[in-house]
Amino acid sequence: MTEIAMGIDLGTSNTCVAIVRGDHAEVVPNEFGEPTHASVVSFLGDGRVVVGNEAKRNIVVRPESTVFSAKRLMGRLSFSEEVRKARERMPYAIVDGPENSIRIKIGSEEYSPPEIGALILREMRRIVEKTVGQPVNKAVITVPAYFNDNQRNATKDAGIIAGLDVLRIINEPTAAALAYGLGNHKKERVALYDLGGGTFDISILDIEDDLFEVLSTAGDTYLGGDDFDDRIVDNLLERFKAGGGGDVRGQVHAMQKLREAAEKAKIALSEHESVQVHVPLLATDESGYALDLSTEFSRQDLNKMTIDLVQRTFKVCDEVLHGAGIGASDVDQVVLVGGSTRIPLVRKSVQHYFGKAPLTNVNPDEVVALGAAIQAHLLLDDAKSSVLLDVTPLSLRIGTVGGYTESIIERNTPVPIERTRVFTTATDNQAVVRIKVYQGESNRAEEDTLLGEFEFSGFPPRLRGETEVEVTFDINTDGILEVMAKETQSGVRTGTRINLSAGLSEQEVHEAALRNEGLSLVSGGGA
Amino acid sequence: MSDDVDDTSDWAEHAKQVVEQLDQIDYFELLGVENDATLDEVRAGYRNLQQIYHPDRVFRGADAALVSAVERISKRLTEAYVVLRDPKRRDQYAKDISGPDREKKLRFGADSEQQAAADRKLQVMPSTPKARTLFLNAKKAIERGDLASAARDLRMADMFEPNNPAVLELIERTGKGD
Repeated sequence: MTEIAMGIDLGTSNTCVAIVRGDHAEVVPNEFGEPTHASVVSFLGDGRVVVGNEAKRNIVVRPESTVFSAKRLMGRLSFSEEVRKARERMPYAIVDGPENSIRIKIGSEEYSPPEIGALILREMRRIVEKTVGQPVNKAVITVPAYFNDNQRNATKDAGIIAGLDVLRIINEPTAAALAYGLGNHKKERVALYDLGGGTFDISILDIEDDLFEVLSTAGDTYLGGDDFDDRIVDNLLERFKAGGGGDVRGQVHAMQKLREAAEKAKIALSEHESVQVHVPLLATDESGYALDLSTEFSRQDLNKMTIDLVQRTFKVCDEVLHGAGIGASDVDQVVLVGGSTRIPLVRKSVQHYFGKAPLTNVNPDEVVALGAAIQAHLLLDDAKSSVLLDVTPLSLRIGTVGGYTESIIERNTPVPIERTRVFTTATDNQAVVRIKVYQGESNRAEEDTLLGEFEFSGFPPRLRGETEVEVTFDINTDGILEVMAKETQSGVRTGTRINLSAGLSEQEVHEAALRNEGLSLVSGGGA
Repeated sequence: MSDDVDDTSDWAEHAKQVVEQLDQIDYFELLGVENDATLDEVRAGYRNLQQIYHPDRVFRGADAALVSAVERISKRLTEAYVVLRDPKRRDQYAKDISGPDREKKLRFGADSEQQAAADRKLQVMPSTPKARTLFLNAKKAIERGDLASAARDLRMADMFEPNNPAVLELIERTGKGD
């Protein structure tokens, strides 16, 4: 029996799984022939759970027990902007968990975002096992290149909770580059423009035969196809109100219907110049009459209301080119990744920005999963020599006095890498050193993301400045950071490498895995 | 260090030997390039060696000593590359390893990092006459509060001398309107 490892693109809106069979990568569809699956989990209340496109339909009928866009909450702290926004617009309940984490409350149970992710991953595994007829538990899971350390850890936790052996966490644009098979027998400089449901990434890679070197990466984890939908929803709300239908903002059911209609219209507008939007029974008037929304929506309307979103991606492109020290014309190939790159305005603008037609020959919804499957396959075999040299997307910093931070490893530094810096104590007889680790580009702590903090002690007390503490930042090939501290004279060191995952403890992951096993997946699909 | 290695057990032996030398060689020696190597040569050295010593090559390796050796080599290759591909760091490093403290300076430390950062700040003026004139004009325009002309002069300065850090810095500042 040949060992099979999965490549899973765990997206904000959709998830896709692929494997390598024979000598090529293929997407594994579910029993209904669907190649991609909505990243939606619907709890049926009796220990049964539906995942995927079937679950997506439950957003309208079971809004309180159907979770979508959970990826936006992965590794986020309760007071973050993203969580504040999610509390506003998600129909399901988001409550505070321990240590500034959040939980999603379904009935009397509270689930962490990685547990929701785990259910989606389990569904992918079920689909693959059903297709290949053998157990499969190894996987490479992709994340947006611009994900911070907490978000990467949360994704890895999701894999562990799902009972998977997570071979590697890799960046979505880098995975896509693998799937395109560029750079055969020639050097190519490639830009991967990845606009998904919830995030935007751009990476510049040098590809030569089996070697993939990421020169720089940048992104915006708050920008994706969902934002395009929101714009359409806002516009439809206005139109409905102007037509005398009243204001339905804040009505969960009506808003969800509008969101569905908006997404449908957006997709249709990639093919057609104009579409008819019809939402039946959106509201009722005073005398109880049902009111429908019916309106004509053109591609031009869409372009006008989303041009600023598209322009925002090019600010990020400027940044990535600057990071690589090159200009737009130095790029040999541009590859489009992510479903949102189907939007004609996005395509046209990308072509204009880079001055060349982008490559689109691999399905943008599937290309990341295919690349992940190729990487998973390569990892099963040491003799294979393809090498991915990725970078860390955000600077890693250490907190210093007065609310400032100092960069230890700057952004776009290749990984794996290890860097050590020596710090001295600030007061006499200091017995404890508090080490705070941040990620971000500002030297002011409040503007960076706090990844975690720990106390280091056990060394003999000395005069101020006489105790030297070596702090080592170590980023592995998953792009995940570990921090170690050592006192130079006594040799006292932190017992183990400290994992800064601000999310779940090992114990919590273990408990979540047990609880996850208790939930049974009911086969969905059949849209 | 750039020998071709095809046999797996030879390769493992080789990796273990390399890791023993890591702390005795400088970054140029590590990447197998001359001290006056071009950026392309540095990059080629780095890429070739990463292809040999990347942790993915021993992903399934049962031998913990080999895995740890390969990880150490791969990380050190990155460290060398990050220093040698950056002109300021590389200048500082070249000084460090040709001085009396060579043995202590084989790895680029925090002091050298600060020195390189300070040098980077010093390098302000564009070096071509046209760009320098435009750059100075732009500075005067900023003092007058005329950001539009400043932005125009800076854009032209950037055309005559692309990617000068001082010019880029001013462009960024005027762009943000402060």
